[in-house]
Amino acid sequence: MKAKNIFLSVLAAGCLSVACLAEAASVALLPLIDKSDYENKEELTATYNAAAVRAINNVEGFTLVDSDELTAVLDKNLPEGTLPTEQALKNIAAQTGVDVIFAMQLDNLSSDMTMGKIEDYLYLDLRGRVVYYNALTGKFKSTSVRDDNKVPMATMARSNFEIESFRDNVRRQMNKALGNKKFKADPVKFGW
Amino acid sequence: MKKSLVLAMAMALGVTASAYAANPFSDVPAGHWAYDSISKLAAAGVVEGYPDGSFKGENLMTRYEMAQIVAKAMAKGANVDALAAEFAQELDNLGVRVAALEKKVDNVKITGQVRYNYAKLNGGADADMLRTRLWIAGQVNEDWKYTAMLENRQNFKSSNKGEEGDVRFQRAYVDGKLGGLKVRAGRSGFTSWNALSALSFGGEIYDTRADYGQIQYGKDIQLTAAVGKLADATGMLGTGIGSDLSAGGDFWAVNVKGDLGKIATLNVGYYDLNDGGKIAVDKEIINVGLALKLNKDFKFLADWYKLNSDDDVIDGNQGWGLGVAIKGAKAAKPGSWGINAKYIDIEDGIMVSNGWNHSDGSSSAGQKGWAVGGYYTIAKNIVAGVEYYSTEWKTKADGHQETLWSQLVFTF
Repeated sequence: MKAKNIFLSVLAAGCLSVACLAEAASVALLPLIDKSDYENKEELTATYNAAAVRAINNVEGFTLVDSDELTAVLDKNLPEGTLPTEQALKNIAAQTGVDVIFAMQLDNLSSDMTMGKIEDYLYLDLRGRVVYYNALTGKFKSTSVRDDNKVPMATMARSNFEIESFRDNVRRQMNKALGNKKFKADPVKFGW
Repeated sequence: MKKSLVLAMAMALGVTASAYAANPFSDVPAGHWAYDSISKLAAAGVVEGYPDGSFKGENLMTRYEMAQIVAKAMAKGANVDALAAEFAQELDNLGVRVAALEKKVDNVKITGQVRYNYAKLNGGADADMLRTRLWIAGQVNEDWKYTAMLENRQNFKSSNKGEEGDVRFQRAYVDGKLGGLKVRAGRSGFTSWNALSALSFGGEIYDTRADYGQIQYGKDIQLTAAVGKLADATGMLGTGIGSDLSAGGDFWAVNVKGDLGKIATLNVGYYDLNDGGKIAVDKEIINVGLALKLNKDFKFLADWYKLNSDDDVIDGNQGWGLGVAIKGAKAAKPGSWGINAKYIDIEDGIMVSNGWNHSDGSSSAGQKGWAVGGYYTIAKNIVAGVEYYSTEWKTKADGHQETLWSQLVFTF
């Protein structure tokens, strides 16, 4: 086994390719505002980040960006723990040149199980809100996110129904924020 | 992290690295070729040093140590699927689920469920059965999924001559999204949308498989519409005497559901059931239901029904029901439990094929009475349940009916 320096560089290098798309439209992803009772907060945040980044990487011409200047503008314009307003997002885009800004608040993520004669079901209760501003299309959107999907419980035996549903909802909302562009990678191959 | 973005490169790790630790390890100087990578990962909490502040980069690593680092990176949202594939066994041994890896390896997932039930039915008869199901789910694309189910039933009260080897294709449907519409089509379970169907006793009007298409639209106010063919075993006969197995008729139904404030949900449903005059009479059932979620552990539910029919005997029949749900067992959470209870008073013809495990449960004869059930997750994916039913037929001669139902469900 080679020294761990090499392994860690390989791990970090996988990230560098994202920053190479300098000519692509820029996307700023604000941290998830989690107001739910879902127990595993780390899993929630990781799912949100991974789903959003994958959605961005799956679409031609977009890349996630960050810089110290952008962070400073965000700190100045965004209230703590609440979703930004339309004006705040437009100000940030104007001051920083970022093309798309996306934020999400999760209010509830839970599921109930029923055991019936014919079927055992899982019922999802996912509620939240998404705001985004796309400077390329001039579109601002503030919309509720709600998913009450019902699935046979047995189909989720080795899966986390709540997390997978949350992941799918984040992906769908990010796709809408990006303007529902064409995929550049095979989404099935990507595992969605 | 306060109002700050996640770094572009570190976003693949799903962490913020807006403030790197300055020279985090005593033996990794700033000019070292691996300094940036190590600093970033240390700041993200993915790697740690030794107690003496060193990193010891020249040391060999075991596969388990590498798997631990990959696991930490995955927990922070890292796109490390190739590494997860390489260390899948070690990650599994560490108890780290690689859900993304499972999905990538194959877009078809096979799961299963075995349910053993023992029931004491009215008059001393009992039921002793094993139901085995295999579920096949295939991801068509990121928005569409195909689901199928094979089922076998073993009746331990029968002669055990090997005559129960049938495996039947019981479900085959697709569901997905078309724009803002949620769509389902094929053969799957259809549960009527009345409020009490949120209990484990199933849908009051109908709760069994059907061949149908369904669309759903809306968020806070939701419209659902379905059209199709009911399964054969339905109580379509107007007078509610038994079930005619050949009378599976056509149906269409629509339901509107909306929130009333933060804790209440109201639904209004309409069900049109007919078989084109083959044997049974046509029916139209109206349902108004109310669900109150008082807190995350307590729900109160209520339904009212009205039947219109060509059959004068049942035309105008009505019914109502009340139910409560306390907490709820979850298959993934050992030790979780739930209690469901309901009371109904429903006249003939309204329950076309209800979803409860009760004597003659599929009959559409009117019933009055109550049911209570308790469910407990013994271990992950093993749930036990016990239900007790006590009802009186409204018009049939047999009078009082009781059922004690128990079940043990394994999901895999």
